[in-house]
Order: sequence, then structure tokens, then C-alpha cells
Amino acid sequence: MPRFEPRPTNPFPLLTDRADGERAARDFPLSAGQERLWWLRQLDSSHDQYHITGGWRFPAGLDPSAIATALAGLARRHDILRTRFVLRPDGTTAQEVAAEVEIPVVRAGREWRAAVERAASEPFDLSRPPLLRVVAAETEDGPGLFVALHHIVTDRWSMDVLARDLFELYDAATAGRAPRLPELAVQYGDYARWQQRLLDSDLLRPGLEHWRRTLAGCERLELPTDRPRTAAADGAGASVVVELPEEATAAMTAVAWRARASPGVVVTAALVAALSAFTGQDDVVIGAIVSDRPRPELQDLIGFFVNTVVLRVDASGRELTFRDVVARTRDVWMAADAHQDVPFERIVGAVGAGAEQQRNPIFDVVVNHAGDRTALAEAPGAPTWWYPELPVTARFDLSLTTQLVDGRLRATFVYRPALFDETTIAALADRYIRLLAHGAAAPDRPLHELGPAGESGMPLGGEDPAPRATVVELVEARAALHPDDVAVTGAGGELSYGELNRRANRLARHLMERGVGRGRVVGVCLDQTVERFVVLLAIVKCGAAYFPLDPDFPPDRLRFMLSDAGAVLTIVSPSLAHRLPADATPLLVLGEPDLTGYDAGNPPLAARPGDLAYLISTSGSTGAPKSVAVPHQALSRLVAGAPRYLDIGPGATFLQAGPLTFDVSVLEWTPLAHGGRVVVTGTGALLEDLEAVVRDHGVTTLKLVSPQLDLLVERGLSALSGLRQLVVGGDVVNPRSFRTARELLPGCRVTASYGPTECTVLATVFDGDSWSGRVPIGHAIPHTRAYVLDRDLNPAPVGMRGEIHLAGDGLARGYHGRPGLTAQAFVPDPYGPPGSRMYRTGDVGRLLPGGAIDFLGRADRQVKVRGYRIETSEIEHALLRHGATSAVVLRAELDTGPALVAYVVADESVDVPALRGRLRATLPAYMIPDHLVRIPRVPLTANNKVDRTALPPVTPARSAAAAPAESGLEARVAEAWSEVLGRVLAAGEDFFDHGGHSLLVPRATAAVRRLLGREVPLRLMMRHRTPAAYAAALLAGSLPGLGADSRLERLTWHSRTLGGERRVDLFVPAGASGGTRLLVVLDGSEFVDVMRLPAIVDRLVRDRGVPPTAAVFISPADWSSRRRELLDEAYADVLAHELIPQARTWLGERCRSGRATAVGASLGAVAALRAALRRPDSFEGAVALSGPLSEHRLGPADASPVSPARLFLSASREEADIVLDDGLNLVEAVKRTGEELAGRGHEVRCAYGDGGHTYAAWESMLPHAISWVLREDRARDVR
Amino acid sequence: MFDDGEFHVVMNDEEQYSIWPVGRDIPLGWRVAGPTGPKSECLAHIDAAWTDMRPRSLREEA
Repeated sequence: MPRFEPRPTNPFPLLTDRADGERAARDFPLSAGQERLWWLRQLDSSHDQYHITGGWRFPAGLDPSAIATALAGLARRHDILRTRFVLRPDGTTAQEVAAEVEIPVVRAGREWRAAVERAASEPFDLSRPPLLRVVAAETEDGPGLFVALHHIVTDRWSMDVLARDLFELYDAATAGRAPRLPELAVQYGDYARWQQRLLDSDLLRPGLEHWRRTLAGCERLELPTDRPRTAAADGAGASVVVELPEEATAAMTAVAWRARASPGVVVTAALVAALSAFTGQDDVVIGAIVSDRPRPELQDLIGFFVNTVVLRVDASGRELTFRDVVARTRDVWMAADAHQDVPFERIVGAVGAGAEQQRNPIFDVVVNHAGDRTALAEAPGAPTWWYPELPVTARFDLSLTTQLVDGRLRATFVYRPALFDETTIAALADRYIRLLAHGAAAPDRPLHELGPAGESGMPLGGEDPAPRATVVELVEARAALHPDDVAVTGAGGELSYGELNRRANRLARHLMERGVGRGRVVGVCLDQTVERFVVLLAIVKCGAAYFPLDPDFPPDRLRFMLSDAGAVLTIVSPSLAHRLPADATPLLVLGEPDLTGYDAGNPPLAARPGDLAYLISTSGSTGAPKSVAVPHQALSRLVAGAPRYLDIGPGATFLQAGPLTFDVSVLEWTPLAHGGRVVVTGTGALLEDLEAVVRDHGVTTLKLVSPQLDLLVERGLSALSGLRQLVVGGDVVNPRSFRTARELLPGCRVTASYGPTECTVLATVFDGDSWSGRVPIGHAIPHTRAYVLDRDLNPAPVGMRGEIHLAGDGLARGYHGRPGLTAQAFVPDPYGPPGSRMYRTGDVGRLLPGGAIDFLGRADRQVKVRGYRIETSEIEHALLRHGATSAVVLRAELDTGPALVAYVVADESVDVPALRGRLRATLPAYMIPDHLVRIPRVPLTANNKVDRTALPPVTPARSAAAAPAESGLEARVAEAWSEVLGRVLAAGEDFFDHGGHSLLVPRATAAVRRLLGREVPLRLMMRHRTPAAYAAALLAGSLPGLGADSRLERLTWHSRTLGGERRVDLFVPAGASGGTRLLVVLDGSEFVDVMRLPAIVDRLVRDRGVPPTAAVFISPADWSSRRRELLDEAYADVLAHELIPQARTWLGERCRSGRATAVGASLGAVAALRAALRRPDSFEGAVALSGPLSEHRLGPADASPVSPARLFLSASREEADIVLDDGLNLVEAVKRTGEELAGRGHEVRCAYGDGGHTYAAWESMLPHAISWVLREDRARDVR
Repeated sequence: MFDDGEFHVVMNDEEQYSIWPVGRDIPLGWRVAGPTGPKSECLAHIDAAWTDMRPRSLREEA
């Protein structure tokens, strides 16, 4: 057993001396847990999951005045009930205890239900105590009292304390005696301060180190949800309750004690094992809620004494027993317990787990063992617990609360119905209780032996073997019975069954002459015309296998494929003949040999069930293509069972919109075998001709792959209204598209299908019944077995993740000429007939309660980036939903480390970089691609799989994240956040990926609020997590409000001297005419975007009699070059020589030829003053806000100005804190500079405001400054 | 299960080869037909030994 460090004791005194005044003692910090709750409350004001409720019945009656007295006594006794929670201006939080707070009682009488529900659900204002609501009710069983508190002032234990105190106070009040309650030596605030001192000390450093070590490289548990996670999760919950019988509960307790563990550990161990099966992960990370009152003085307090610890249990090992899991859980639990003082938020920050909105950091599942239910006093007439029925709230995706009730363990699973179906959680709960029961009964048996196989609900074996008649026999029979029925229609006309058969017979005889026979392979490269089936049927009539070739392949690849398959001949359409390598096999160009002389009767049957019918080439993982070899018996199995799920019999017309090289084309045999017709024609790369084809040929049954359906849904499905059945294949069918198709095509059966080439195209189908928002792949088709097996090849219980395995007559023979590859993909089937094989699909799925299979992802498309397991298909689907035509997401190893890259095909109207922002609305942050690359089309392999090698590489160039800030606002936000983080954060870096966590958000936001002087919602940071994005979001909300005829234009300007392109904004006021004056504003983007100077000028001109004024706002190329540029001695000349003439060109006649006025703040103030002093020819004055003026040489040395300038200088009083290099503070510097300049004869006004060195201060100073410098009457006004 | 560890080379009545993890009962109708060892070794053996991938019944019909 490992040794544990003991939990550090808090060395500080719990009760500090209150001699420093009662007032100081009324004001406390928040405890770590409270702080987290406070924060969660700020995030979402519309609802709150953190309410704790309780109630009692008073069989002996409820005296209203006594209960009022008791509640008043309760509030006097417990400070926490009189506490308000506030945010201070510096972003820190505090709890303040009021001297007196009244607890009102809602007397609801018989209509209590609504009052109780309102009390339980209405959000509390945490700044208004009491955070306790009381409802007095007249229930059917007598009077009841219901209370609802915010979790920030209570916990489960406290509810027992509250009941005890309240009843004693009530009894005392009715009896007219003094209450007898233990004295409270300390109050909650004392505890919070005591805890804070420990947190501020260095004592928790080893603890933080422990968590960092423990959680290194941990994998988030990914529960298979029934619906995708959306950003807008609410607190709605639902629950599933299961119970362990009394005997098993006793056995479980015995296992606990023998393992020197508590029952809480054992119930947790069973959850770990169940979750491991549920997710298929063996690194199980969950949270646990532990009650923590580390000192006896805290026992009798009401308050929030709960810690959240992270449990990471290793559930790996093939022979793992229940006792092993219990022991591992126990060790993990003890270590966690010893380090529980480290606040959860600090752990989150330390491991960089980020803070996704609406998703708990680190874990989504929480366990809470509540032990025994507390019994109330049993005196006759004493109150009893009363739990009125209330809507369940879910604080986590899934939580398990266990409790011993009358000797039985009761397990309550609370989940979010937004994510899970009840059946899913019920299956998990069932698995859980079985594990616990079997584990307690046989703790030393390996876990994988637990639970009977029947539990899986998997149909094991027993399906009837498929009929063995080959497609050759079936089509020949059709041709004999109904020779005139149309078999194939489309490009090139129509072929009846009779004609098709006759022409195939002639060609077959010709082929036989050329050596085509049993066991041979014939390449085919054909146009999309009805000829297709003459050729295919002829080949199989010879007993040979056909092998489709894509004419677009490079000749080398075609040559390789043909020689690899040992093809003896290639049949090609005349138009494609030149695309094939002439040297690979002999070519037979259709139409060239004259076949009229051949006998049109059926040749003797050649093909046996075991002979190959066709080969389909697929890309191999090693890069070289491999071919799946499919025998007739597999094709017969598909054809024989098809009428049970496909509408392909007489009267049906079938179309699949893919090329022959795509294995879906194999489905075309099914109508031919059953008397339907097949349409063979091109439908266009983007299915642009599909509607016409469907209409012209009367298609009744259409097979699409899932992206094709998405495409059609986007275009509208009206043209498909005549369909009788729509079959959508592909593993992940977009539920939205599926539903749309069902809704818009009434009378059309919409079927989802799934199957790899290795199992002859189809393995399972789903007919859309029991619709639950997800499209499962459904049930195995006839003559087919589909298993979901866990890592030990045991059937996975219902709801548990496993790999999909397929067996039955549909299995391919293997990979042509690849024995080793075949042997590892097609393995012995322990559940089928003796000697049978099963195919390991590499697809991950789970069995749903009805027996349908739900596809959860491709094992090899599950990538891991930065510790997160990611299903790339989920991101792809999200991109499609947001307007991409097609998308491929993959994991790439870049110089900067592993990254997620999304390749996106989209039309020009789609702003690809903006997709990132839209993805954030539906996906968790870790699933947002690091790079979005637009590509013209997704390169595909022969088999319609993504050709990764053909995707363009990502140019990592310079990491976008580390790029310098582009604007002042970005830079200042980055600066403010860096200060909060204690490390430098670049403009593009994610606050939460760099040690930030939610509790730092109020401080970081407060810094920005001060800077802007505006209210900024805390929530903004959760959505805009980089300074750059945050700055952009701030600006998006502050467009200047201009008068109707005033204009603000954004221009790009290139200065000869300064070089580079820079942003220039041009403000033209309403009615600009020849007399309009000009402001030149430095650091223009800040004045436009943040301080809204155009709007200020506009208003001044309209309302205050300031003369019409235009303004040109020039911005530095980027924030990093700003300082150098503004302080450059020659800058004033650049403005005079280049910018002003350019501005006049832009403004033309609308501007007078007189001089301009320069405006700047901070370093810009220095540059503005210099412009006015050094270039009096071009500038008549300046506004200089908060400039470090005395640090820099401003004007020319000569004392008397050529012409006096009009100069407005200002500073904020708080800037007396800013000490400049010359020892003056900023206010003194402004004052002294003002005096000097006035002494030289300039017109100077100095003004002093409030607000510090912030945009807010400057924005409030600007109206005054601008109206003064522009005023026509030039009264001398120096201070 | 098929990712790492030791495997048997196994064969069924149709003389189709495959592999099976050591330590688990070999399913009915299969027998050991080659070396036992790491997967790569088993697969190399199969690549060499399974020269005609047609099932036995088909070979005998031919």
C-alpha cells in the first residue's frame, strides 16, 4: 500500500482577535468553494442549479408567530443567513454580514405548489440576504414548512443543522423558554478567512504539485451522449434511481471493510468500472463531493463546507477484479483527501484544463456518497422530513448520489436530458448495480466475467444461411419469366431483361474465347450508361470477377491495381480507352468486337457460390491500394435479403448516385434479381442533375451517402417528392438532414444504412422508427450478425461502448493477395457457427436498448489532441451545419505540436475564418480546429475515402497566437490579463489555456472595465478568450453613433516615409463645406473604436456651436511599432508633408485650406504637441491627453513662437501615481509643460479630470478638449 | 485484444488462416496452425503459408 502525505493542518488561528473593531469583522473573503459558486451565478443570471431545498411536516401543527420568532432567532444565530456577497471595484469578492436581516415567510396555504416551485427555482440575488426562502404550506397531510437556500450559504449537512436549530428555537418559542443550543464559537466568515490565510500561504504548494502530477496527461472521460453537446445547456435534469437489495448492500459493506475502505469508496469503484465500460476508456477521471468541516468548532454551523476533489482511477488490466478496482479507488481517494485543501479552481489553472462554457472543467461525472439518511427526532408529534416534488436540476452532465436507506443502497443518477436519453442512463445504472452486486458477491473474479452474456441483448448466431443462388441464376430466371420488363434504363436507352441477358450472353461467349473463366479477374472502366450491366453480367456469367477502375487514376496506379489483382483483360468504354495504360492487360473496347455472331442463349452456369463476383479497391493504410474480394455467396446474401428492407421489386426503379468504383453500386444487383429496374446515368459531381434524373426515369428508390443528403437538404428536397424510399448510407448520418428528409418527404420511407465493403456494402439498416434525435445504424440485415464487443471480445452490455464486429454470409473472402492483412481483419467468431469468421470494422458503437446499434465513431478517426479525445466526424458535421459544403478534420503534427486542422470546401459566400467563431456556438473549445484551410475540393481515393496525402500542408508560418497585438485595445487587454495571470499573454493566446480560470475572470474583467469606463459583462470572456478576440468583441458593441449625414470611412494609406499599409479613418461631418476644419488624430483606431471621437465631434458640431470639423485618424501599423513611430523626431514632418495633403485630397473642396489641430493621448500626446510646436505652418493647435510630456523634448529650442498655438493639455488626478523618468509625476509634468508653453506665448489650457490613464478618462475629457481648441473666440485662458 | 500481446496462428476447416490471442479459448472450429508469438511474427508466417486464399471447399470443387 502506498504511503500518503498527511493532509496539512491549517496553522492559523480559526478565530482572530476582533479587537480591531466590530466593523472590520463584518467583512470577510469568500471561501474557495463559495467563490466558485459566486462565479457560476454571474455566468448565467437566468437560472441557477445551485439551490438546496428541504422541508418538514409538522404533525402537531405550525404556530405562525412561533415560527417567525424561530426564524428570527436562526438568522441572529447564523451570520451566514445575514450575509450578502458583493463584487468590489477591484474585481475581488467579499461577504458582508448585515446586523439584521428579516426572513419573510410566504404563507401559501393550500395553493402551496406554485409557491414552493417558485421558491425553489427563482434565482437569488446574492447581494441581497437572506439567501433563504421559506414557504408555509397547508398540505393534505397537515402543515408543512419548505425552505430553499442558495448553496453558497449551506450544504447537505447544514440542512440537518438548520432543522435541529430551527426546531429547538420553535419549541422554545412555543414553550416560552430560552432555547438550548450549543454556543457558536466561530462564524462562517471566520472559517472563510481562516481558509483564505492557508490559501495565501505557501503550505499548499506541495498539494498543487500533487494535482499537477496526478492529472498529467489525463484523458477526459467522453460519455457517449445521445445528442451533441451545445453551448446552451441549462440546468434541467432528470434522474434514474436504482437500489441494491439489502443482502447485497451488506455484502458490499463487508467488501469495503475488508479492503479497509469506506462504503463510499466501494460505490465509487463500481462507478469507475461502469464508466470504463460505458466509455471504453480505462483512464477514468471523475469528481467527488466531500463534506469538509476540519475543526470541531465548525460542526454546528450552517454554511458551505464542501470540497470537490478529482479522482483519477486506472481501470486498465485484462484480469482486473472488483477488489482491484476498490483498492485502486481507495488509494486514489486517500491521496485526493489529503490534498483537498487545494481549491478546485487552482487545480484547473495548474493543469491548464481551461474553462469551457457550460462544461465542467476536468470531469463531467460526479459521485457523492451521502451515507446514512439523517433521522430526525422520533418524539411523537415531532416534525418529519417532507420532500415536495420538484423539477430535478443537473449540475453536472451526470452525477451519482448514493445513500443508505433502510439497509439498502439507493443510487440516484441525475443527468442532463439535453444530452442523454433515459434509456441510456438506465442502461448505465443497470450496469452499475450489477457490477456492485456481482462485485460484492465475487470480488476476486475478473470484471470481464461479471454479468451473464445474455445481458447484452445481443442476438447470438442462429440466423438462417443465405440462399446460394448466384445473381447469374437470378437474372437469367427473370429474363426467362419476364423478358420484356425493363431491367436497366438511363444513358443509352433502355434494356429489357431479355435483351440484357441476350447481349450479356453474347459478350460472355466472346470473353470465354479470350480466356475469361472461373477464378479470373477482369478490369472494367465504363461510362455511366446502361451498357454497364451487359458487361458486368457477362463477366460473372463466365465465372470471373469484375474489378472497377477509375479512369481518373494515374496510369501507374491503374497498372499497379491491375497487376496486383492479376487481371486477364480490361473492358473499357470507347470514350475512356485512351485513359488506360495499354501495357497492363489486353483491352477490350466496347463495340469493337462484332458480337452478332455469338449465341444469345444462356451459357452453362460457371460461377459457384465460393467464386469471386467482384473486387473493390480501397486505400490501404500503408498507402498502396488493396482490393476487397467478394464471393458470389456474399453477393447472394445481399440480394436475397434485400426485399426485406429495400423497395426494389417489380415496379420499383432504383438509383444510386455514385460511380461503379464505389461499392454502393453493388446494390444495383438487387433490383435486377427481383424484377425492379436500375437507372444508370451520370448525376453530376454535385448531384446537380439528380432531380432531373429522378423525374425523367421515375426513380422510386434512391440511395445516397450521407454528405450527398446534406447537399440535397441544403438545396431543398421538393424534387424528390415522388420517392418511395430514400436510403442514406455512411456511418454518421446527419440527424438534421435525416429528420428534414422524413418531414419533407411524406410517404417516403427514409432508411439509414451502414456497412463496409468487407461485409458486402450493407450490414445494418435503420428505418427511422423510435426516433430520438439520433440516427443509429440500426439492426443487422438478414443473414448477417452484428456484434458490439468490448476490449476482451465479450459482448458489450447495452449502452456500453465497444467495437462493431460483423459476421455471417456477407463477409468478403478477404483482401486479394494479402493473407496477413486478411488474417488480422477477419478473425475467428466465438459467437457464430464453428469455424466461422467475423470482421473487425474498427468502428466504435454501442447497443441501444431496443437492440439497434448506435455508431459512435471510427476508431481511427478518434484523435487525441492536447489530452482530449476527439471524434473528428463531429467537427466535420458542425462545419457542414455552418455552411461548409464539405469538410475534413484531422490531427496534424506541426512544429508547434499536434494540432487539429480542418480542410473546408465552401462557396465564396462563406467566410472560412469566421467559421471558427460559429463553431464555438456548438462545440467545446478543444474541438475548435487550430487551422482552417480552404480547399477547392476534398481529394478522394478510388474508394471515395479522403486522400490525406493530397491535402495541402498547413503553413505554420508564424504562430498566429504569438503575433503582436494589432491595436492598442488588444495590447491593453493583453496587458491587463497578463497582470491577472502573472505571466505575459500575447494577443492571440487563450486566457484559459495559459493558467487562467473562471475565478480570475472578475479581476481580469474589472481591469478592462476600468480601462474603458464601461460595464462589460463577465460572460464576454468565456466566449472571447484571447485578448484579440475580446478586443474585437468589445469594439463590435461600440460603433459610433453618427448623425444621419455624417460619414466615417475606413481607408488604407501608404506613407512613403513610414512605409507599410496603415489604417486611416476619415470623418466627414454633415454639411461639410469649404470652411470645414481638420483634426489630425494620432493612435486613430483607439479614438475611433474605443473613445468614439467621431461621434463626439459630430455631436459637438450639431449641438454646441463648434465649427464644422472633419477628422483624419491615423493608426500605427501595429501596436509594437507605435512607440518608435510616435516618438520619431521626424513624425511631425510626415504629418505635415504627407498626411495633411493626402487628407485634403480625400476631402477635396469640403475642407478649408487652413491649418489643422493634432490630437493624441499618452505617447500620442507627445507627438501631437510636437506637431503643433514644430510645424506651425501646418498645425494651429493640439490636444494632448495624459502625455508624459516632460520626458521628451517637445518644440524647437527658440523661445518665441512664430505664431502662438492653441494647446489643450490634460491629466487625470490619479496619474499622480505615474512617475516619469525625470522624477516628475504625470500630473506635475502636464502642469509644468503647460506653464512653460504659456510662458512662451502660446494659448494654453490645462485641465485635470478623473479616471486614471484609461480610455474612459480620455473619452470623458474629449468633449471639453475638442470644443476648447476649436472655439472661434480665442479668449486667453491659461491656468 | 488484437492490438498487442501474443497470438496463435489458427486455421478453420476451410483452411482460412487467422490469429487468436493467447490465453483465451480458441473458438470452436479453429485449430492452431503455426507459430505462437507477437502479431507481426504470426502475420509474416501467414503471408508465407496462405498462398491460395480460396476456401478449401472451393479449391476441391475446381
